Amino acid sequence: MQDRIRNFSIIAHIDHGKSTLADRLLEITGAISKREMREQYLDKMDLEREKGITIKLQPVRLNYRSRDGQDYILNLIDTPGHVDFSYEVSRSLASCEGAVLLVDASQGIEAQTLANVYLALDMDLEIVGVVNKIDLPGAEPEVVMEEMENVLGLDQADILPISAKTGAGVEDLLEAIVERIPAPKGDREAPLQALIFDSYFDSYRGAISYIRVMAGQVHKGDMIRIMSSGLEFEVAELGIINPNMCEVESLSAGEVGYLAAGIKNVADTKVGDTVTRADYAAQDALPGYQEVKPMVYCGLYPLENSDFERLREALDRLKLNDASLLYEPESSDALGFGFRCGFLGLLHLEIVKERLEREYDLSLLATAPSVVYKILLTDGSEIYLQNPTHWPPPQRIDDVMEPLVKAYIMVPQEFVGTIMELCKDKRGFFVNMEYLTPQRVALSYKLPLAEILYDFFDALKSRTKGYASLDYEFIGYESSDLEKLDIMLNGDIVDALSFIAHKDKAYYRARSIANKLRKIIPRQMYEVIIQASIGSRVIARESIKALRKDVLAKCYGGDITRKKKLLEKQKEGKKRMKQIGKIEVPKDAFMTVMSIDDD
Amino acid sequence: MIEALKKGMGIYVHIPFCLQKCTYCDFSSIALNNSTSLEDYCLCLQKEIAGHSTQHRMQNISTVYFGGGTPSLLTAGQVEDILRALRQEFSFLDDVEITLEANPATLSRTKLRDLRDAGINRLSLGVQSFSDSDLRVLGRVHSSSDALTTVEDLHFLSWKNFNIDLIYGLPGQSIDRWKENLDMVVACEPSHISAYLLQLDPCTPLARDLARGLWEPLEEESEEAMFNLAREHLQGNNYRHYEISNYCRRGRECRHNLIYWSGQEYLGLGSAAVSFQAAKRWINPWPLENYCAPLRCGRLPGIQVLETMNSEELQAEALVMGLRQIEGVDLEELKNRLGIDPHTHYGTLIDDFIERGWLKMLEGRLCLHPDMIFVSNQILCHFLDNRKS
Repeated sequence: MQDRIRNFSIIAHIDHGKSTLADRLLEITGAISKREMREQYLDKMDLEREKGITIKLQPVRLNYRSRDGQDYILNLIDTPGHVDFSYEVSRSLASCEGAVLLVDASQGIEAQTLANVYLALDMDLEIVGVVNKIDLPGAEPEVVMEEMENVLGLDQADILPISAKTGAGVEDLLEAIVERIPAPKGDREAPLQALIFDSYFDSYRGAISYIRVMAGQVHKGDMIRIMSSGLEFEVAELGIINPNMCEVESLSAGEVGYLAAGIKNVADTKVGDTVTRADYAAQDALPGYQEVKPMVYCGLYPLENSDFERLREALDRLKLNDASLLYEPESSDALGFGFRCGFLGLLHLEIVKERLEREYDLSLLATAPSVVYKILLTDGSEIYLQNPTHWPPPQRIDDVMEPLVKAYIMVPQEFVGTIMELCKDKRGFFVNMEYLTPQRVALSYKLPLAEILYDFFDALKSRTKGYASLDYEFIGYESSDLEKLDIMLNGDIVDALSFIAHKDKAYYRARSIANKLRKIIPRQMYEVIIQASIGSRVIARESIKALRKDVLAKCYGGDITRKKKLLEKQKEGKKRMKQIGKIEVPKDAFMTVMSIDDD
Repeated sequence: MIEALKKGMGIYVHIPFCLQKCTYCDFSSIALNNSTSLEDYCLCLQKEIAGHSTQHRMQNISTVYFGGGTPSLLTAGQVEDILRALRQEFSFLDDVEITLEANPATLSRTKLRDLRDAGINRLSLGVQSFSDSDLRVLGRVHSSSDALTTVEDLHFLSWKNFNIDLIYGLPGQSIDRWKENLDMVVACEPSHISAYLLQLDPCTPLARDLARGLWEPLEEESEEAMFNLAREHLQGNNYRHYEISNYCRRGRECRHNLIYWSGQEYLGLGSAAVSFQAAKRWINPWPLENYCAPLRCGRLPGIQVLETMNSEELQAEALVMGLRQIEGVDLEELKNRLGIDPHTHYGTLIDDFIERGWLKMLEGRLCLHPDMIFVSNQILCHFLDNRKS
């Protein structure tokens, strides 16, 4: 049976058609009927469907009868494409023996194509190269195949041209998966080793873990042990996902499925952990995953102070489903009690905040995001600063270092000039330039992470008519001339709005932020003075005049109901405000002020 | 209960016809093109009145208000017919206030006399402005001299109890021109003055013209200055400011409107008229034909319930409406009327707002600080609960 299993992922740059290919595979193998079919079938979250992106990896089991008449089990693990979620990709890949590499026939290789291929090669996966979207008018499959051969070292003859949308070539791809991706190894009779590659919390069944059995077998009713904690549980339910949850009696080496064991405490089943049997335990745990280091931090605060405990619970549960999320309690003079949370990037932050709000019915305020600064103090110690509020007094600071990334930017060659300009403006340091083809260039730059956090990607896209793609990795810390800027509302520092800026840019940023706040804070019963300062030196000032008119001139018998609705709506609007002192600040202000558009 | 009966109910009669639609109007009304439709409508009204009799028979009526539209398009005879129908079904209190809204362009000395003979004892004149350029912006059919003629006629007839409506904050209006309006209105010696800030529904022609940039809207500072000027000027001339937009001589409050602001019951008759009884608010059909067609066949038209309120919601409404009155809300009276203490739910809020100087307590009445009247939504909205959502 094991030699009839194929475990694989689809890897690609964002928008190259992963979820569409997954849809087609589901349809062609009959996992779902045409009637049940809907776009992005595996993207279960509303958020994913609204944004048209995949956030979570999602496993599904397909039954396939190959052309030689043999029946195969194909476990597909759909993965996200955005750079923020590469951690999810690496987890999927660890459960597979092969990967289908998808490249858009009109776009060619992009930054994340490369990043994902490197991940797959690191894990010794068999790569099946595919050129997708061959039905589109701008498709140049031959050119792209050549590019794949030159840049990725794939043999052109092995690359399959397909259209995930129309289904053309997808049957051939299924054959290639069966023929080229190796069957899983792993001894069925050995002690159980199962890798938890994802989990989520179900209110009725407790933690549900997605597992890949690497060795041995697990049966319903077995006592299992989580190897990192030593805690033991009885398996209440085992199953496969096809794509609905379908219970089975056992799972054995090579198989992918889910496991529920009444685990109520979410901390007891960590992603990357190894599950073994209590009575026939494995000696060693599987390698697991590297702990990811968040790139960006921000404070998340409940709009209602009384929701703090609910927020903690929601984070605990979301963490189970999103191992890359880090958080610890903190407090702010302006905002009360909340959590400092670490994210892989801004999209990740946005997604987590939206998931918390939607799935746990919370109303949250996110403070200005910040990277982690390394500060060397005069007493010889060093701190990693996640929250600008805790910036030490200048006399205690010996040196400040900021995180740098190496960014890979791929662009058509005519845009090289404008991109170099942009990178220079972002304090970038040129590293390398390489022609992938005569038309396409890969640039690499060393850039401060703080500079590319907010609008760098948008700027890249707008300067290149959307053709540029970006990938980056953290490379270390470097000394930099940085200062802390404080924002004051009517003379009081709002700690949640403090941020760190480079000396050369501090003045400009201060003015831009004061100006944005002036636009975003509605007129209030009092005049509001906005000031930005470094230490005691005020470098920008704006004011918002007091509200002079907010009245319903007429309210008679015929329109009392309507007028009350207007007032109700107004009160509803106040719920999206955070009261800071006597000033109502829109909760989105903290995030939006940080965007650095050039207005 | 006996007190409530003595107080009596208000009746609102909607006349949804005008000579033409004004540029700022978002009321349920249509331009009148022939007198038969008005005649037909009056018959429908009388049928509706007769149809309500079983439900409300012998209810005490303290006020009747003909609103619109332009109710002065009715002939005195039609007004008399409607009032007669009402008197047959309801019991009018001796001092019943019967108001008719009137457009100066529709009035003459004879007509005024006939209306008075028909039973109208209070007139509300839609003057809006004494400046002809303002009147053109508003799309009014009358001129300022029409208004002055009507006022002269009223004084000639010794008609003391009448209101003049004014609008301020018009595009292009200067504070000086508003001051002239205030001088004029005082000279007209009405018993009651309504001074409304222009607030446009986005679908009105004037709002669209503003959106297209044909007019320059006023700054809110100018609007506030006009409000303050009206308040000072009218109070200085012996008009009591008693509701956000209303002023009157001693004892000459519009009793019908007090019914709305103090949470008493009213029955709305005619197309698009709204009623409020037994904690329920409903609206008659609109457009006109949906109201008239069933009545012609001898059936009462269906109504649409707008809201049914529990005690908490009634309390919230009482506070929001009551605080529109300058003397505010009697909290003890409110507690006795609804059986719940406003302090239970709003105690902290009220204390906080008093602390901030936004609200104050005067002889048991909670009222807005005068400086807060023109920004009162900021305060009133807090009294509405959104727990329903």
